[in-house]
Amino acid sequence: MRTKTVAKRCVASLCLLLSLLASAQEVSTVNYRQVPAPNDRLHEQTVGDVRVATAVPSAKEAQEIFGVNLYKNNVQPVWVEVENLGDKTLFLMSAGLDAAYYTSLETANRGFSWKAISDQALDRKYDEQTMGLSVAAGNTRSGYIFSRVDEGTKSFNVDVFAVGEVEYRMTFFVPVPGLRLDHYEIDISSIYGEDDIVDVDRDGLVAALEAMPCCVTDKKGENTGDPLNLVFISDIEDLHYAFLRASWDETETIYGSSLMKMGVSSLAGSEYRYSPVSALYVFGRGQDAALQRARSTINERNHLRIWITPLRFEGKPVWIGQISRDIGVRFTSKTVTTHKIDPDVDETREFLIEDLAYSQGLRKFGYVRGVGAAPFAAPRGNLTGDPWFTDGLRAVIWISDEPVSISEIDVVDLGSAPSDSPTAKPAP
Amino acid sequence: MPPIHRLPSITAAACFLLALLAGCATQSFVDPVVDSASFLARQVTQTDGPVTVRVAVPDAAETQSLFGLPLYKQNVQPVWLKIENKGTGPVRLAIWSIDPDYFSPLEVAWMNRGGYDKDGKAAMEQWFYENGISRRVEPGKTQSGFVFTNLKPGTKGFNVDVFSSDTAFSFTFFVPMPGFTPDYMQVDMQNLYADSEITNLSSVGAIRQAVESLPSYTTDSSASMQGGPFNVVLVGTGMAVRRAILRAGWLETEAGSSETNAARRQHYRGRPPDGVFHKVRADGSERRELRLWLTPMTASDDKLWVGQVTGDLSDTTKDPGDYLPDPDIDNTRGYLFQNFWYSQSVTQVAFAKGAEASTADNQSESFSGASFFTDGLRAVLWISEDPVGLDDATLLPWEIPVRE
Repeated sequence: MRTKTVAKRCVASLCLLLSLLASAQEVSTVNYRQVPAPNDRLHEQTVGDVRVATAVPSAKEAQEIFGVNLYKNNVQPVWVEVENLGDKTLFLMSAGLDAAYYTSLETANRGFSWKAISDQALDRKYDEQTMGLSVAAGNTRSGYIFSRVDEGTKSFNVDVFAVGEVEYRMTFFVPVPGLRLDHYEIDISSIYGEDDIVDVDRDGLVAALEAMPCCVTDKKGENTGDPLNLVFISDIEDLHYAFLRASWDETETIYGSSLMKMGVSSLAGSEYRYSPVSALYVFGRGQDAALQRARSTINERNHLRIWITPLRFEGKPVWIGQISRDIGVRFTSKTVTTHKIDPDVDETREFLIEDLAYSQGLRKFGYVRGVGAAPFAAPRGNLTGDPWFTDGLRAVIWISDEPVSISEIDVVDLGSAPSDSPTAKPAP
Repeated sequence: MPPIHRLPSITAAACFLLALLAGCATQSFVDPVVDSASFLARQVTQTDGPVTVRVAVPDAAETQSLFGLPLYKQNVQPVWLKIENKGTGPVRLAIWSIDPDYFSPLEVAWMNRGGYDKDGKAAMEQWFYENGISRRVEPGKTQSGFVFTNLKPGTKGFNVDVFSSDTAFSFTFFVPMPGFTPDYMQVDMQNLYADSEITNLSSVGAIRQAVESLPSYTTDSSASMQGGPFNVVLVGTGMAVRRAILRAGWLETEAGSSETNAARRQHYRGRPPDGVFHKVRADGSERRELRLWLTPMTASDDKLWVGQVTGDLSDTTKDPGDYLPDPDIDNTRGYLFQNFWYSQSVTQVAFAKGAEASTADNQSESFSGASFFTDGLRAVLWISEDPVGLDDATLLPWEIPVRE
């Protein structure tokens, strides 16, 4: 033990010395404790002088490694390995991965009753598994960062800084087994054959979008519901990434167990972020993907459903979609419970534009007609009887494949603007 | 499944009972009169180029009397805005910038639909719809209305971003709330030190030396017993530090509040903290506390603040009286340093020597009885008044924390 402490101090003073001689740092070996990866689903990136490998254990794997159900306590361990290929000490920022990450002792405390935390051996076990802040030049270090749970695809940044203004930033998207996601159930690429695809120019795009159905329908196509007030121009991967970056969650396909989870969570007011959404129809088929953005309770969330269209603009697929803001639960005769939506669907549409803009996924946007205006005083209704009113426009949103600063977003004139609408909100 | 079927009838019965008891469902809605509301006297104005933004925030009682609704109890805090556009083109307000999880006007109306008759409900919906602020302001026009934000105790701090076709106008507001005096407002910072006591540090080297010669630990009130280490130093103006703290999501503590009892036992130069701030998770657990004192040192316009950041591991949602100080205090220091960096408040960061190093096997103890272990370093953060991009902050090569 004594020897170990001395060794630690030697390492510390060596690093101190190195840092003081910052201009002449040398590579030396530090005996970091290496933590093995939880599985072989490694995702690896190398940027500049740093190689980063990550892996995310599923709930079951985490249970096996840590002996407790961490996921149940809203803790998701993310394994990170950083190889420092340069000559400066690197700092791995846990806050970049999750701004509200858990420290090792918080994790230990969440997994066990608080009495157990006075158990120093247990504390030590968690501490030993935890990734440290610094990685000395020429060394490799691995360990866990404890984040909040994201089921489905775990998206996170790994940010590494060094002395001076040096920084390496990487984004990882790691699928985590355990959730049956609805967009994995559908093969998007097989929906249209190559002959069905129509390449359009700007005017063709506007004309085609304005001719598309106003609204979703029920399965038989007999009754119309919520307005289709969104259009996305994007590859599927970029669309997926942009929404994950903006904290939208994927949706679990409806199975018996997820309906139970939702019933319980809705009544108890707790947050079940991946609850399934029911199908609405466009082009005679249910949504190709559904996403949701949870707020403080399940009753307060935003739902988004999208369908791919046969259109292609500037080489990118064109999607049409519908968004609604749940503002409460209503009991109806048609379904056991359904969500009351905000009737001001334009407000929800504009929220989405801002949400994508602030998460830097939006390149440009504009508006086309196609929904048909419905004023506040004469609203239309959705399939569960909720009213909605609108200026009648669809927002056309170009998703970016790289982060776009909010001041760089362009507004495109597609011939319509919300202020032109006869049903635009009056000035108070 | 049975509970789901039963609930509507229970709800209906409860509503019926409530209606009988309170005579509700018969009320009409009286339009709030905003123009003469007293809280507007506290409005704060900022101008950037052609855009002028005025904001005011009613407190709980003012909100109740203005709307006739207990919005604060529903975690809803209305923020009133007036935006004037003197430019040549339209501008757009990004409501998201004020609170990404804002409540829409009709959502607030829906939350409060109970108790009104049909016409009352319709009138209320219409009023909320028309008085939620519009995003678009035409050139030469002024637009006013409410944004319904999540309630935050204490000074209301928020951003307002307004965009024209080619420029972004960004504002940060701190709106004092009546009835809440933050602890630091009761300290006369201007007169804590005589001019002759103040040392100006003219170089980064001098700052390092000064930081390393600050006392290692807090003391008890008689300065006879040793407390926890000073593990943070902030370099910045009072305004910059305050903005950084709010931007990073920490909350002020109210002067005289019992929640700072433990903090106020810690002393620097014979006095308790000049300001105590705290941060908890969304679920109310794992409280962190930052205790700050002004030192008699300055670096041009900046002041040096010495501090102590500590963590409480207890899950106060399960046991509100629980208190479990985190012995691994470097973890909390690491959190603070990243939290300020990621909220875009720091220009430079360094680690400097401070307390004696101790280990998990051989922990140190504070006079309060709390044990802790640390590498002995203190984080030094240079705080900016304006947001700093993540990649524009610099890490100085002083000391490097190494934890095996």
